[in-house]
Amino acid sequence: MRRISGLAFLFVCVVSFACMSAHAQEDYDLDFDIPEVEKKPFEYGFNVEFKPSALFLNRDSTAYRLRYATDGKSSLTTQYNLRLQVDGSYRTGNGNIVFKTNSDIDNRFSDWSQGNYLYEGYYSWTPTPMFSLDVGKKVVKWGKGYAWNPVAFIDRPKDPDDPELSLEGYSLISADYIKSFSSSLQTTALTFVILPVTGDFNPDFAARGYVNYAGKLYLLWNDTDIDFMFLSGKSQPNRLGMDFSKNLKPNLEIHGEWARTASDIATHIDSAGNRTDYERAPNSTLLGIRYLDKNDITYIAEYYRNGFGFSHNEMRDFFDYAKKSLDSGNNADINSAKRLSEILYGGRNAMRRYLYFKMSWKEPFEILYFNPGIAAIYNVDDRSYSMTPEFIYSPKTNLTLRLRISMLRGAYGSEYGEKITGNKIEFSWKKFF
Amino acid sequence: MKNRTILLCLICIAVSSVSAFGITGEEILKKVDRNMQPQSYEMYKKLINVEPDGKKKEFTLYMAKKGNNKIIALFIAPESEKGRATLRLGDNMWLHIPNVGKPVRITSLQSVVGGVFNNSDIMQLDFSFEYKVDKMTEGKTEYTLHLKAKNTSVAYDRLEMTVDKKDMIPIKIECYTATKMLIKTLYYKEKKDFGDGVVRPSVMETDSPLHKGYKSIMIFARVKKRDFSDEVFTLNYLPRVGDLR
Repeated sequence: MRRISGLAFLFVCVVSFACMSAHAQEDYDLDFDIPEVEKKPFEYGFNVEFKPSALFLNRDSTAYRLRYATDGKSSLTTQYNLRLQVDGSYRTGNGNIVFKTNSDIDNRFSDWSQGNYLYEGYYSWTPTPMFSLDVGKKVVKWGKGYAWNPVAFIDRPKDPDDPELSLEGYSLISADYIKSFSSSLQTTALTFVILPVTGDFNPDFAARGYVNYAGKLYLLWNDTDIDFMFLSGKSQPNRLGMDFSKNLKPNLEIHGEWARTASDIATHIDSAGNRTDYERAPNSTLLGIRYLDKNDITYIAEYYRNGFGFSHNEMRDFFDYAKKSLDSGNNADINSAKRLSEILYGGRNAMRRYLYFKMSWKEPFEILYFNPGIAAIYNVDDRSYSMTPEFIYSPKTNLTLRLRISMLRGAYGSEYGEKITGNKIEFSWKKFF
Repeated sequence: MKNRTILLCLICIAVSSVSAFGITGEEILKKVDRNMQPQSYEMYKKLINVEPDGKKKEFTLYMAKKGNNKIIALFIAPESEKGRATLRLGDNMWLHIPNVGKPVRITSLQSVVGGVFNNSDIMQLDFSFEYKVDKMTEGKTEYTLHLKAKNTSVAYDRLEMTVDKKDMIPIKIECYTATKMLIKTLYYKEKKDFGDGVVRPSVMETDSPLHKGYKSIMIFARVKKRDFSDEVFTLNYLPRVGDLR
């Protein structure tokens, strides 16, 4: 019954996707009035997104067996997400109050949940274009990579499966100084950030009770963007990094990032469940290109080496341990494996080497505002992968429809082969107001 | 004899780019630039994409320009595009999307709005910065300038610009690829006095043989001379462009 209702729901989604394109015809009239140019001190906007999805679960996967060890589940399940985002600003002289909120109602694996978050809320003071000071909760956005940003020391990690999702910021004080020149060094910009982790401030950043400092030097030198950055403080180990981006040709861009963490405690669980901790100084690197061909197809390719990631053998040891725990039926062992999966082995980018590829075609066959594409993440270590074709269509002003079909494949003991979801179909209806 | 032939050829080339009044093609192009865009200014643009069945989609932008190679554009409507900002510094072009990381490098060949207009049409620098005059012909009421791109980073390799003799503003521009294929035609209309000596077309229409039946229209409003500091045209300032309005 659940399977039928899920498929019926998908059918409704696809039909509505098609119907939305048959939008009402509007009369063309050259309108010389542009009311939007009248700037008001207080401006706001909001968007509502409804995102139903159907998940075809991989019942043989370790993640599935750990989750439903004692309670069987159908191989098909549906999820629903309703999201409201409100953003706006209030301007007073050289000051600007900026905010962005995010509210979600979720139904996942038959459990309802809801949450309201302030993604951004800060006061920005810009007495001159050369200097600005921001105080409050803000997304900083460091790095040049599309799917991953190893140098984003004070940002929440992106989801490489959907890198353009809005993220929540951290509470901080940030100062920016910019200087332009008429030489091969065209711009320099210095950013300094104070990020406290105390009380209610940034409890999920890292260890509480400390004030952290971060900085970034940006240079536009010989038509190349270059950043050098650091993070210092006791909440997290000290970090150093750099990134760059340059157009080799008008339609070919190359970018890269490198980050080094002074020290990190790595954990290894062997196949018998024995835990070993050891210290290391991980280096993470990213190298990528963007290319636009004559058919208006954009290609993005990135290689990411995650210095914090597990090797293939380390991951396989964990899956062997989880399998042994499940086969033994020992609840304590199963719960231990489940916990390790949640906090260590089952997260995003858990392993060491990845390739990302995305191809998006702008308005093929003269279909205006229609952008099909395909994205793939390939785990170089275990040869598992996820592949996601997507279709984005904006039939009317302020309306975006998106259909995504994700397929995860891999052998036993591989990252994507052991995920709870095998295939996923997701539809999104997003309306801006 | 050989030297004479070369000399004759050189004289012919020189004469072809100089009008009866002694004005050269390069001088006309510079006059067009100054009439179309003051050296440092701000303006609003409305883009309207019209589909063959009459459906339309509109975008409104705020723009600021300084010198001949610095320009910045901010989408202020519709709500789904609001906050997107593009920066062009000579051949470098970046796009900032509020939700997505730091500004990414884009090319002038792409279109951030869809339809017939591409980034180069929206972020137009001075013509004389990007093109040199290959040839000029003179009619009764107009000049025709045959322009060739100075480098490969521009969207169109060749332009054929028809310039109104009296007002020194373009009437029509045909855009070609290096293989001389017509990509699109821009029509400038509705001359308007924006004040402070700025008199220029207030409407630009575009059609393209590659997008038959589709039309894009650009309406210019509130073109105003204004000085900006160089730091406005930087990546760090890009998310704050709205502060200029």
